[in-house]
Amino acid sequence: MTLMGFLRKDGSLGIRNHLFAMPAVVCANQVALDEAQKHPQIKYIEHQHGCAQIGADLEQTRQVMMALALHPNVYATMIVGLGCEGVIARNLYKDARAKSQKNVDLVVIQESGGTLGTENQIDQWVSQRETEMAPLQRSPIQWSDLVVGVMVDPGLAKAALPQSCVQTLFEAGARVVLPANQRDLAASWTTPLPTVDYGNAAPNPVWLMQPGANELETATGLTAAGAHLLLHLTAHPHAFGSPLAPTVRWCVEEPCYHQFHGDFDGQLQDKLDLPRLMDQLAHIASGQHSVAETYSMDDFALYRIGPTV
Amino acid sequence: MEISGRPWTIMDTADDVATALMDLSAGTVVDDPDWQLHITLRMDIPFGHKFAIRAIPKGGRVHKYGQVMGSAISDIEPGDHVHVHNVESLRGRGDLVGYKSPTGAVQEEETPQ
Amino acid sequence: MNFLGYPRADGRIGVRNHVLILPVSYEMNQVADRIARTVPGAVTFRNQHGLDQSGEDLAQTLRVYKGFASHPNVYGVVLLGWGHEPFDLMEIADAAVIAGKPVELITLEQVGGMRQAIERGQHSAKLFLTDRDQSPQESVPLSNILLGTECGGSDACSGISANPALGVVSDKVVAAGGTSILSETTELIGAEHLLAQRAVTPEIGAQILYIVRRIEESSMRMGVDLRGAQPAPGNIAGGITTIEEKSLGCIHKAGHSPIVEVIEYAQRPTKSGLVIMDTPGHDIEQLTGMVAGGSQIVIFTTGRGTPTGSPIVPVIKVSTNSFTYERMRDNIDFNAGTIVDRVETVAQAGERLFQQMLDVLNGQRTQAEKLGHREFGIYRIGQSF
Repeated sequence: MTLMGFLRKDGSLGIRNHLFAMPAVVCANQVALDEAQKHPQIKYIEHQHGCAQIGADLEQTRQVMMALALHPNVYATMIVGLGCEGVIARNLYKDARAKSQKNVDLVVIQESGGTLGTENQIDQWVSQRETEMAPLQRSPIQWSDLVVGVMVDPGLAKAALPQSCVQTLFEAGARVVLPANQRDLAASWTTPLPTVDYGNAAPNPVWLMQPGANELETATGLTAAGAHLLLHLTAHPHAFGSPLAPTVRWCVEEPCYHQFHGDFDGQLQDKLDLPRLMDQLAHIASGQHSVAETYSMDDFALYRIGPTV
Repeated sequence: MEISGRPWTIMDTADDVATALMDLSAGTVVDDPDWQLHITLRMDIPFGHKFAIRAIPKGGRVHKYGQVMGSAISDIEPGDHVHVHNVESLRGRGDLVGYKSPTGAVQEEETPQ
Repeated sequence: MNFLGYPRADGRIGVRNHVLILPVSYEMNQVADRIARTVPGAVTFRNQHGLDQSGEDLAQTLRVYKGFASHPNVYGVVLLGWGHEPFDLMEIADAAVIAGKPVELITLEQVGGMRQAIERGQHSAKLFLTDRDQSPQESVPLSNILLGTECGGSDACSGISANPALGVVSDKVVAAGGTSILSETTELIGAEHLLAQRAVTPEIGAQILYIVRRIEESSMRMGVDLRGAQPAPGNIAGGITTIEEKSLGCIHKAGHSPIVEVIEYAQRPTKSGLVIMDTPGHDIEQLTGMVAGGSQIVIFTTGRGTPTGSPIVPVIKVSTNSFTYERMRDNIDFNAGTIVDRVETVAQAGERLFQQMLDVLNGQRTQAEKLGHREFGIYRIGQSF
């Protein structure tokens, strides 16, 4: 099938047109949460960071937030600051504007009369951005326009089927980012794979990213690395998904799939299932919802490399 | 400590600084008989910020609440704005190799970034 | 001095009567949210922890879960687990049961999927909500109160107005036989010698110096100047120059009482009086630690203005200056800027704040409660730095 996506003025290409409310600090969570409940089309994250962080840890947090604000599946981002935070929302906003033509806006709670004043400003932003978005249409894109993040259960990276999965994605032309502790997924690779820091991208067709300390942190990192889609292969039921990159979860174990089939997008039994998986990914890339999206999952966890002070 | 009728406050007799309780402009005469103070502000002092009430030499300790709040990194004159441009912290200095905190915490070597 | 509270089976007194949907790992956040959104009256929070943790770090996280599950402000708990967490879910359920609470434990693995978990959770939450309305309230003395004190977004007025006013309240709670918690160890750096002098024994004094040294060392390991995080950019804009200055202002919120105990993050005090809990300066990780330690109420002073609150504990926000109070009326409960404006003394503002605390203990809702704030964050230690 022909893949359909959104071409953006900043040159990137997205498979969703999200409005994203991103708190730059934990103290701005509630504003983002309230707005996401009021306007279901808003994606948001809830987190506990952006303050009392130092050094490399603060820098990494800032980079991940920047990458999410500029994510290709986002049409427009509203950065929500408190005003006294460590990840200074205003600097994040300025840097994002300097770096990209993405629609990035800023609202600061301490300068907007508190929670309700800030929420009024975001309401206006939503209606303005929605008017702009209304006429936007999808146009044909290629697999080579897309980055797919793949993650599997710890034991599965050495298994043949997940490896074939990655190979098939690559052969279709997609770029693939893998957690560095699952480099076996690309076992068939003859050329060396670059390894980048958590949440970072590389220009290569396949690259490795330093993983987080748990699966959700890794999923967040893959999203920040620019993955348009996340493919999660697992033998367990899970209930988390990225707010920005459609999370597609296939089960690799028969009994588990049967018991929890409502929580999976499909079952991967053997190589014969791969065309079906690719076809579903193409449909989801083109706008069909994954199970995680039908639940409007908006999970986020950040890998930290320094102490809170 | 209770606040007097003036738009600045000094927390302790040992203090080198006063805190502005409203935006004060350069040239404002700070006349405080309680503290035997008669100085002219050399800079604008925003609300909540501090000005020196006596001279502090470079390297000298700066006192507020009667305690050490840092060290002067340049000579400070009475009436100067006292803030991050002329005072540094003496604590938590992970950036200084050989630094030793009063609690005994030591920064022995360069930490790679 | 009495207030109206909910007596619990473990002898503690609640000042609220919440039904808490408690996700013990990030796997259950979506399920928890669905339940809380569809059952009006139930509260929850977002959790990003609970998996791939071990040792002291896991022990600390479990203390937080148990502290929330057994909290006096909680009537009943819907406990949500994935089923593969690296700890025994029954341990947390037991903490709630021992505290006399109805508990429903649901795991995704056992219940057969998200839809089933949501339905089971909705059913139990509704049941608990109906039952909780029969909870009797009693007039009890103030000695039952564990007050959490906090400051965040501090400015140079914090140490002049709001913190000294909170210090008056803290001393009154202690004098009435209650307990008050001072925390934010990072914000004791430079003032620790003053606190150590107030310790009731030399051992407690040494513990105070030890926890300050520990957090200073841990931050120094990052190889940078602490300034920029402590004091934070907003603190600096507000006129605070160094961590020492911030700390010297910070400790005023603990009044003048002697310090009777030093406890770890999220631990319950074993003594009445003024205690120090070892937490970072991060507002929400601190708040979460004090709530887990059993604080039924928190008073939070702020210079720059903060909207935050807890899902289960009323948080009274006190501005240090009148500008912030006027600018953030949605979020601030009390203006101590009157001290800076010279219309009230510290003692007068402290007395007024004490009365407001009594009103909140008796059920008056705080701004953060009205707005539904639910901030939550566990202080993690021993991550792979």
